[in-house]
Amino acid sequence: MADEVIKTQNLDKNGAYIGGKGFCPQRDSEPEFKNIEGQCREFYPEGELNLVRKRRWYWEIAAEDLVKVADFCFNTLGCRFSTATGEDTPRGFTILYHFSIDRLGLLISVRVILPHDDPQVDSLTVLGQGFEWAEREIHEMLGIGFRGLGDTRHLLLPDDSPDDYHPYRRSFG
Amino acid sequence: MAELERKIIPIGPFHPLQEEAEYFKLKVEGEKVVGLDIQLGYMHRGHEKICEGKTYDQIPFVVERICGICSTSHPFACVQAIEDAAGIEIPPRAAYVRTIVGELERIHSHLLWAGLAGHFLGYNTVWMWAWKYRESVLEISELITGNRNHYAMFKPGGVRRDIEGGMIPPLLATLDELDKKLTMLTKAVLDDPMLHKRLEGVGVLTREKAIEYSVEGPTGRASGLKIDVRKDDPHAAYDWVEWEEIVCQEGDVFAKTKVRLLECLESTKIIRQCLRKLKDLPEGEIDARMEHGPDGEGVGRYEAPRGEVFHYVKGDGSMYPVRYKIRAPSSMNIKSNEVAVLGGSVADAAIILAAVDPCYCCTERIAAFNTKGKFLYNWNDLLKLSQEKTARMGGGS
Repeated sequence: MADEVIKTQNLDKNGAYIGGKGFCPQRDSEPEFKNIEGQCREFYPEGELNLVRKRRWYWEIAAEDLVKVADFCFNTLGCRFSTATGEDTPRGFTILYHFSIDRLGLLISVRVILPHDDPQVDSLTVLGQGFEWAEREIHEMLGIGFRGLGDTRHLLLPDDSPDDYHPYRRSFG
Repeated sequence: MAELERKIIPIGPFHPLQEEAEYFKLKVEGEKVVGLDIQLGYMHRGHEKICEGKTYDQIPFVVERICGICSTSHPFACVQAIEDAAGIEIPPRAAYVRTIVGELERIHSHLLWAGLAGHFLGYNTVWMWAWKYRESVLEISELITGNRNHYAMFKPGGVRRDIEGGMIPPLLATLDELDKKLTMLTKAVLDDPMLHKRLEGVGVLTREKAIEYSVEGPTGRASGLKIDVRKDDPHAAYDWVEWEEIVCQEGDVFAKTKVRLLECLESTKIIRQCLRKLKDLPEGEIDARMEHGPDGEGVGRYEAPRGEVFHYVKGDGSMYPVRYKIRAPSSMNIKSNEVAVLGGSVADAAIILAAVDPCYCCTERIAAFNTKGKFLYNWNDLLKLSQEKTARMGGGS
């Protein structure tokens, strides 16, 4: 059985491993990138899609449309959710949801900006369990409320941290 | 029949299944696992915040300390994030050296996992073989970088040390030896009837759940997801050499074992090609200078032994980042244990929780009590249960 498995991995006569032919031809296909760009612009024309580099796109959207756009990325485009980055910026609290289209190596970072006085956004746990820990981390570190996030226990901070203890806020300390 | 009492077996916060201290609350009815609650946070050290106070030259050294086993994965992703933000191209020699160091780490990490998995099953022969062969990988690492682990090889723009021409022939000879050993170990493990019985169909993570939990690395590839950052998002020298992605469909612990062992063989293939190409390249630069800090955002991704390491950096033109984000693969993979462990027996829990390879270390301290305070198991008992199951099936050593 092992021999059969190994043979598919290009074994030479002496049992040593030699090179395969494992290139990824679809990876650099320009029409694919154009197609995805077109789909994004058509689905949500109000958004600001910024193609910073070939495989690094940033897409700024309105916070109230987050679930709609994330659903499009996760289910329609078939992205994998990589992680979410929260930051306290002068414009407000920013969350970047990093979605990866692995067959193209393309990373689409969806950006939402929330006001400093009442940072609230819909939870993406309706799409999959993979979003939960990223949201719980941002919830405790930046004090952003996620509507619909069932489990809001502390993830990284000690269980007895006070409710207004948010270390990633610029005002902290 | 009387209804079985639901009990909780706490695993952790400190025990040898995990590199970091985590707390698994295993909910069981009799022998059957019916739920899992995972609590993190015991090892939170605030690396993201520390990095904001360091210069771009210092950050690779800080992030190298995040993990002891995959110590080069974080610097790999880190320097790529900085280079992405600053728009730096690295010299070809540096790309080959990075690839070689990254792959050496993958082999020793996978062998470490295979050994410990064998130990958890009470199959110590696998443990002894795997760790013995791992030593020769560490020796190659020491020859190239000066260290068995924590190589400190990477810097934004390139690498800190070159692999010189004279070193290459002995390295190739050592690799040939290593290949034979790895092939033997792989065949022995994949052909072992006891390991088939013990691991097939155990801790299955279906493809659908793998997508829902966004798992990655060998955990995802064992569930039929064809994802590998080295292939998908080309960097360093990974698209200048030929190699195969290993993908299995079954999603059980055996598939994860198969993926990891076969990946070791692919890694030696990559290293061998890189060394040969490095030999043919003229001596030259191994780093591109970074004159000032990046002004903008950058993302670095690298396929660590456990999956995609993700680093995000945002700079304002100074030598310090404004925001630094780190996400290690285990933080996506560990959560999938919630579904993988369901319906299995307590004796299988140890190997299922270990199958996502959440690194191992440190002290062990678990105890299980029922709701009336009566002592049930400690960690050693759980390990013994696992090992006894293998023995009952007529295997082990």
